[in-house]
Amino acid sequence: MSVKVHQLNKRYGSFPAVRDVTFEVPSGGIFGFVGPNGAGKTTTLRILAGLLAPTSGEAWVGGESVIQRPRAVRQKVGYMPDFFGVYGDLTVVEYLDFYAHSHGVARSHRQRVIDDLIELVDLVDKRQAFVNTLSRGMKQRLGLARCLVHDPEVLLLDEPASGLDPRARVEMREILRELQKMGKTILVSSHILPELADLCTHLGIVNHGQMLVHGPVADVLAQAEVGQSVVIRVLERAEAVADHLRQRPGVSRVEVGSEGVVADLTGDDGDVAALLRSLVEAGLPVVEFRKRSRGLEELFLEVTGEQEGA
Amino acid sequence: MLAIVLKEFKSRMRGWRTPVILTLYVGLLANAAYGQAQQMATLAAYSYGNNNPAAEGMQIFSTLAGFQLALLIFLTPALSSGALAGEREHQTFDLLLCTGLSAPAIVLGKYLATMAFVLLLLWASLPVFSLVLLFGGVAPLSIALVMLLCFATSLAISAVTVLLSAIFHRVQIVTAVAYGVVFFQTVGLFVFARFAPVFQGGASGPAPLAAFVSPITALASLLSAGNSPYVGFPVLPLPLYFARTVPRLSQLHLALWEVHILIDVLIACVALGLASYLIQPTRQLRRRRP
Repeated sequence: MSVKVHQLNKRYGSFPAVRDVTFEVPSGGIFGFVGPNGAGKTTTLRILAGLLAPTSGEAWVGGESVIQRPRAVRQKVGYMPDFFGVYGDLTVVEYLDFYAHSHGVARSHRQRVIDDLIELVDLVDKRQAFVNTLSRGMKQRLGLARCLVHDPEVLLLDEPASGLDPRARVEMREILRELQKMGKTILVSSHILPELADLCTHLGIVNHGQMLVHGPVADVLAQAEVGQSVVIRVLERAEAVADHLRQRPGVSRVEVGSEGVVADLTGDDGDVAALLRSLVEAGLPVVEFRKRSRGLEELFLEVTGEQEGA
Repeated sequence: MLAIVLKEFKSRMRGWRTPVILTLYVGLLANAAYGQAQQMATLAAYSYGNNNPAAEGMQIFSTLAGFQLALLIFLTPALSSGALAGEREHQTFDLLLCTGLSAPAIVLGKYLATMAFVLLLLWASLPVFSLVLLFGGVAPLSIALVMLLCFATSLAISAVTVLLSAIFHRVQIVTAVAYGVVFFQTVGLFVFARFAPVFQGGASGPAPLAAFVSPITALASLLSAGNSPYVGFPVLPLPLYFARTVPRLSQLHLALWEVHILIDVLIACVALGLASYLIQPTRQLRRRRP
């Protein structure tokens, strides 16, 4: 595992910012860390970057403990905070050279690294531009290049797309895909789920400092599918269909809307087939019957909503 | 560490502030020297041929030395206050901590960059100081020693300001507190040393610790070493006791200004060590889990 977090806790006075967070990210994976603002994402990432001491628990990055060997961890990590400043009076090349030098990249090797990174983040035309003249999107890309100057094993990106326009977001996603191909392990946090849905291999949903769901995206989605949802469109008598469904065992919720009749039920695909059969046998005019897959967004709303209600 | 020093040089030299500071600094020194020379010339007109160019040179030199020390005391907190607090304000501090640099390397890098700038100011002032050599009465070594004393004073002030920069997160607060500390160290301790009861009876008692810490007394001691009973401070005549050597200090026979330099170095080491400790992000944890 490239990143391993075990029962991590962080308290600020009496306020628990992170509570018993546990998860793992394999090498080369992209872990989407999702949660509303103030959920504990930034605190967790800062602990993993060796910038914050946890109250209890343990975390390892690239096999190094963030508590015992924070400096070794920092060499294995490229961290991009949600808000970060730049040295505006340096040019793009000088900016990257400073961080490469600080990370101990050999002088002979530095220029090639900088050229490669500038190309990766598509700032070739801005090589000699002063950093304070770059747009927000360019600064974000430069920040990403900065994270990579020492060729880290793990990237910790805190809301990398925040404040970017749609085009810049797409560009950022493409760069992250490219980095994954290069074998980097990436932890990327966001409070906007669609940003991460099609990018991540693993997902963790966090709220009020607690990890609610985590694991490979497919597994997390499967958890979302434990309770199934079907949409039934009928030629007529929608209310009769709804009444029929309400009398069926295992059906938890029935709603009649513009889409048709939507029913949530427990059970597997066999139960779904049995439900369709019962509708046909009852003589109801079904013209469409389909399972509605519940997306990550619904799962997110569901698990965070459950916690709010608890 | 070198990365930080080089980056600071680039940043400092690119702005408009550096040329303005250098110009003002040298201009003010030259103006002080010119003013003193004018005053000397006016006095010479009434001296009926009893001019003493060496004494005049010494007066101008004393003025320049005092002025240089005052300017550095004034400038050093401003030059150092942004060292760490500025990084925090500009949200670049975390990025710096994430590099392979250790906390002492970051602190030292910032500190050395400031001290290099102080050296530049001292270097720029040399042509003005060299004018006093034309009068005679002042040896080049005296100029070098004044430069050394000024540099040592800046060493301590800058280190204390860097420490404050590690404690407080806003540059304005750091600057304000630093000026308070510097005022206490220079003027406060000088006044205390000057009017301490032990001296009221005469010049026989040992100098209090305050006298060793204040750069004003140190400069007075340096300028008057081996000279007349009164320090050649034209604007602030000081009595002889600041000129005395300190014969009982561990049998080292060090002059007050020499002890002051040692204290400055000690203050700098302690302040920088503390600053390095304070900026370590995971220090609480290591304290709890050895």
